[in-house]
Amino acid sequence: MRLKAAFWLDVTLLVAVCALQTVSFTGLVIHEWLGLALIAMVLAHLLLAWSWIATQSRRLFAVQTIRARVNYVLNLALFGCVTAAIFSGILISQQAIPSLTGKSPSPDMNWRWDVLHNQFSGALLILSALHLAINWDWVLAAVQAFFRPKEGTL
Amino acid sequence: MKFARLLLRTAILSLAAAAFVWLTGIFGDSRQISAPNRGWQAERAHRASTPRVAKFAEFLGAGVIVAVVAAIGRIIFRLRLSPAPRNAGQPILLDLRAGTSPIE
Repeated sequence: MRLKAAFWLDVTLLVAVCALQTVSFTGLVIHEWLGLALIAMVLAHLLLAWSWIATQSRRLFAVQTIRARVNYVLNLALFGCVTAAIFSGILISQQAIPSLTGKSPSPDMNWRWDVLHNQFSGALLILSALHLAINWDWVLAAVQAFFRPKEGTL
Repeated sequence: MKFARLLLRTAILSLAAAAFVWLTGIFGDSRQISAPNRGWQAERAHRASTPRVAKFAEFLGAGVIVAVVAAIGRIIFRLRLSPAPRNAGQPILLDLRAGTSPIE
């Protein structure tokens, strides 16, 4: 049950990250609300992976394989990038944040944070793909566990 | 107890996120960014609020980018990060004992 929840949450996260790259497809309203929903999805993703986070953080300065170190740094960069993308998105929000706060959106676009938001989003897409690559074995194992018919059922 | 643990973990993650927000703020304020060209400004300022199905190809494009980068990353991680096979560095047994020939 936990594995299933983690798997489908990850699939949703990946689709959401791809959708967030294409504002012209989703439109600004869905883009901004989906960006805010990403906070809850990322939080749930991290809470489900808590045992890995806790173990790897404790072993940070101990002898580890290069793969484990690269994975940790990659995940940290991904967390930093998603935080930066959401934060910069909130700063330039024209729809979601004004409707939450009740204030009217700023008439002048904050170009500095708009450019940075664009850069963080691009980096987020690349880091998500690398995160998928390094955890590919887990994804394959999960897919096999769900979709392969169990022995004795045929 | 379980709820308290969940709350504590959420608080730790929020603290880490707050640290990254602070760092992003410093990074953003320190960067020298000139205003983008007028065409880009006009495009950004007049984005549609509602979804446009005609732009679905762009969404697929983002998916393709993820797939390509993931495939490249997979190859790199496999080549550079996977542990060496068990027989790496071991002498290859050619079965050259006295009096016997490896090819019989």
